[in-house]
Amino acid sequence: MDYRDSPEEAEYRARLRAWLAENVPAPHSGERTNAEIAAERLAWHRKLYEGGYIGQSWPVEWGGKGLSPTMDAILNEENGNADAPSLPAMVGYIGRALQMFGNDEQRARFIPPTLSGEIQWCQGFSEPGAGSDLASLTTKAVREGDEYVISGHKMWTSAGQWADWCLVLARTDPDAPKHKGISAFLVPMDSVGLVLQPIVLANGDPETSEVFYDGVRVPASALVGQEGDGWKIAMTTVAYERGPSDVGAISTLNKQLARLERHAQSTGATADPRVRLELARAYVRGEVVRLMALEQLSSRATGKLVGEEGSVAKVLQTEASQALAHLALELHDADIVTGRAPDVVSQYFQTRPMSVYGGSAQIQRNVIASRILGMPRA
Amino acid sequence: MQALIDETQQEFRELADDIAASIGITNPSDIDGADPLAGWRTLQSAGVLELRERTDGAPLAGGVEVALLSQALGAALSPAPYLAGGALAVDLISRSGDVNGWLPGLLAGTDHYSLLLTPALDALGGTAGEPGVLWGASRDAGFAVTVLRGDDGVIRVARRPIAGARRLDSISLTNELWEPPVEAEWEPGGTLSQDDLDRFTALALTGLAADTAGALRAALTGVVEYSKQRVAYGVHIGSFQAVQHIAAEAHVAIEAIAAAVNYAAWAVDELDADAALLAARTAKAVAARNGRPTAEAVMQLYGGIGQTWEHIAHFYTRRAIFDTVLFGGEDAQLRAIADARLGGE
Repeated sequence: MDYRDSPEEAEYRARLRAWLAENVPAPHSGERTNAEIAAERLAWHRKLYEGGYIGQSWPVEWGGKGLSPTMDAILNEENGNADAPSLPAMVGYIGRALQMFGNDEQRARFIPPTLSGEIQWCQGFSEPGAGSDLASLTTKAVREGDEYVISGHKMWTSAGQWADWCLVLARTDPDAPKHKGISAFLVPMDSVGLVLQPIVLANGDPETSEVFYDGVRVPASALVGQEGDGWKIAMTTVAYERGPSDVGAISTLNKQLARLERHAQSTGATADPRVRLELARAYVRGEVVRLMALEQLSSRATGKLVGEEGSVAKVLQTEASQALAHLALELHDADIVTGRAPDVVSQYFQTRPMSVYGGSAQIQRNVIASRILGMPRA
Repeated sequence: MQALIDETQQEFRELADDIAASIGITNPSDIDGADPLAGWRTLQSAGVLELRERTDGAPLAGGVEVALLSQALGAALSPAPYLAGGALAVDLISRSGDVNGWLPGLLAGTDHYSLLLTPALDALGGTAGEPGVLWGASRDAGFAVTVLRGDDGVIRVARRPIAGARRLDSISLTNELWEPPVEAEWEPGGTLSQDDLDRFTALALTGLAADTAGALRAALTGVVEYSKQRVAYGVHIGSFQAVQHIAAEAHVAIEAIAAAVNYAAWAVDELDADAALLAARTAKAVAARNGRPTAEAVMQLYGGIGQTWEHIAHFYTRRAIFDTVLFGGEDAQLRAIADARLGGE
């Protein structure tokens, strides 16, 4: 056991820190539109890629640097400490699905531009009638010659309006048991018959979308893996989505806590013993998420695949983020009511769906009970 | 970076689990008339009393081993006062250079040491006129150890005999507390730096948090097993989602403590004293916040039987509460963390 940086890690951290000092954009002031935030994230994604910091733990043959997964923890920490824009999340988990289940042609075609940020992804999993019970999805893909024809209605396609491609789950075998008849497809967002309708979330921003597939035709080569592999692919994708390191959670938590501490110091709120306790508690919650991510990355560095332990981290990460947002509301006091702290209000509403997406907080508890504790199914 | 225990530590953990299981409690009746020191010979002959003995400045084993053993002893509900009378007493005396040669008797298992705590149990005590409480005593023989700060600011370890001490009604049936006798003279030993004292405190906080993690893990494992056997409404109660979610939350709570304990245990010897203490306070804060509620959740899942004296469930709850109060509960840790991060008040 050694939480210290190895010589390679220390060197990497030092180089990264210097690079961040040069490249992190100046903090914005005032309100920004969702499109501006998305543009800033994309620009940061490309910048990171140019710097060599995207896909660093990926195999060299797929455009990565083949570094240890522990470098991702360092990137997470330093990106947050530098108050940089958020790390791109989709690379981590959609990219992994391609890496693990795609064929060589798909990997070669999609992984490099995914890493570089040239291709932005979204995820077409949920439907109006299939959220937590994802396997009930009814979008269908019918094989017609060299093509599949996809029809259905997807919900919660996050960042769909900024995406170029979508990983879509569709039922290819209506007669198979519900987990078995699902397949995964790579679908361009500009396909004929595909119509996207933004969904405005509670913070007022169109962060997600619903997508209608009306006979969308994709070549047979758009199928990932084999027919019927869709469930396996989806579960792998969400397992990575649940890893706090893959979605940049440590970075975000560190950054938000540091900002809130500075705010509390500037208003004199840190003289209040209760505020001090709550800020310290927020630090403790963030530390737990960080340390658990370090354990999980260390485990991954030994070659172990991501498993159900991601659900434990997801529950803790969600609680940490939501509690921090509550504290921010409290410490900004009347400003959150009078519209003088729009970022804080927006951030608060952004943390609400965390206990819903990627498997709701209740689904995570089901996974922990049945898969980790081995409790019997109802 | 390697945030997982290595192979040697894994082997030590297996040894610790075996030792703990052999000196633990499985039934409430096991504790009746039991001598907490019955397991001392086992600990002594296994060589774990000397883990914190220092030769050439470095302890034989790091905080990780102490935490692994504390976790195992917590899981086994062992009444042997290893953390106080073994790890911490040795750590303190050894850091002071053991100028009077107290350690050989302790390590041989012939002299027993306890720690004198403040009446609030939140730190080492020893102020004149304040009787304090002995942690780690199991009879009115042996010594109390503490640190005394001289008028010149020098911190010195000190001991005194505890003949005439009286056993208190500790909330934990597997952790005794004693009231020291009318004040005897302190026998001064070697000196300690503030860094030494901070690292000692870090070890105490981490060991207590590890003990909580072990006890809660064993408690949860027990009740999950029970939920697979107990039938209500014609099905195993473990299949009810309401039951599953309580168990899942307990699991998350325990994993949170464990992640913080692992880091703190490593940090005790490896980071600057300030950082080691911050890591230990973090672990203790998580353990204190999650300890009692998680033990209560286990009692709840056992239903009526879990509320009885005859059931082992309340032993875990009592142990978690004991661990929480010693060396300061959640708020005490958070106050210190706030001072470290935001500057003192």
